[in-house]
Amino acid sequence: MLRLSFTLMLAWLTLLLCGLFLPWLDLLRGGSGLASTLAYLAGRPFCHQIPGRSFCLAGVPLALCARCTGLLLGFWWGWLGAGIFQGPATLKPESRSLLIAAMLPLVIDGTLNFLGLANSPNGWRSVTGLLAGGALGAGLLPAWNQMLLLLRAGGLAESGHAE
Amino acid sequence: MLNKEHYAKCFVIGGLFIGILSGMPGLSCCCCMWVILGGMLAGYLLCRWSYYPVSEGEGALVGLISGAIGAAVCDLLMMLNWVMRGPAQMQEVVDQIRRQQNFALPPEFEEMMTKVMQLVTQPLFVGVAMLILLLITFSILAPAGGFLAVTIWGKRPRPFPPGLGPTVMIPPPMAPPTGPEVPAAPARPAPGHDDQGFFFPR
Repeated sequence: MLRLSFTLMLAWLTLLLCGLFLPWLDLLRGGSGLASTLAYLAGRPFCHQIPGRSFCLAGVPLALCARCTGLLLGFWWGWLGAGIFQGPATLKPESRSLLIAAMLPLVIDGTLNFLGLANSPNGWRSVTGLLAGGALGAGLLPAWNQMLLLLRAGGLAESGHAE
Repeated sequence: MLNKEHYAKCFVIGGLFIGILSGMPGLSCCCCMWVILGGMLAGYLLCRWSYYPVSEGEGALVGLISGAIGAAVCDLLMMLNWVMRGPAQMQEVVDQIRRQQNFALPPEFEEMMTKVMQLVTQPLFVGVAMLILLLITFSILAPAGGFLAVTIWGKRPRPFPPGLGPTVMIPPPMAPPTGPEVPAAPARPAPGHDDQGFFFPR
């Protein structure tokens, strides 16, 4: 069950990554089309999609901004890396200090930009997103597995069944 | 699940936080921060209200349900917004693509866009499509916030009131399942019951 959930989550994250790059893939077909439109519409609830804060190729921005791109890429890599190095059924929680250290650049940079005290370049925004996303992805895997085991144990206890 | 009695309050508050802030126009574009913060809020509240240490799995669980509630509330607000401003938003996306292509779009693209516009201006279609997307995406981000909150605040549970304490041993950290048997949930003390006190002698 834990391996299946790991695989399903990885598949979904990979699908989201492919959707992120749809506008650039459309460029290979000669220009923006329906795929780009749907990618921008799908990203709209999650991101401001300001072209100046997104990675562009030949004037075509990605479906998410630089920070969101880094977050998604980091999350994907963190989830995959935790599955490879600790195993897809791992229950070992991530170190608290490592998690806080990885989130701090994002929090500080985001706050400074929001208050207008800084205007970070897209590369730095994506790096802060990568670090935070990687830590979240790697830390979520053991927590997700614990949650699934809790639900299974709770459901079995309430129904009076024992495996 | 020793802290089960607090789950409902936590994920309702977290879900409303996520749904309202993510669904409000102008506030919704914060790189998914509202979803992660909502999950963190649900996890934090569980840590503050619980007498027993909270595990990362419980934080992820309240985050997951908060994300689901938040997705439903956000979808409702987005549908209302779409009914009022949907065609204008769709036109903005099309205009952005036109600007990228220097206004030189092929005629078949214009025809296709007209058909897409007719489809996506149906609020029910937009509502269902967005609900699926939001449910799946929020259900990944909100548990991440939940487990993050538990990692930071989960190891210092709320102290028991004077004279009361746990009547059961706090279970050890969860280990991978090694056999077919599942341990039963330990008994909770009745309210007002004098404890025999493993950890808090009178």
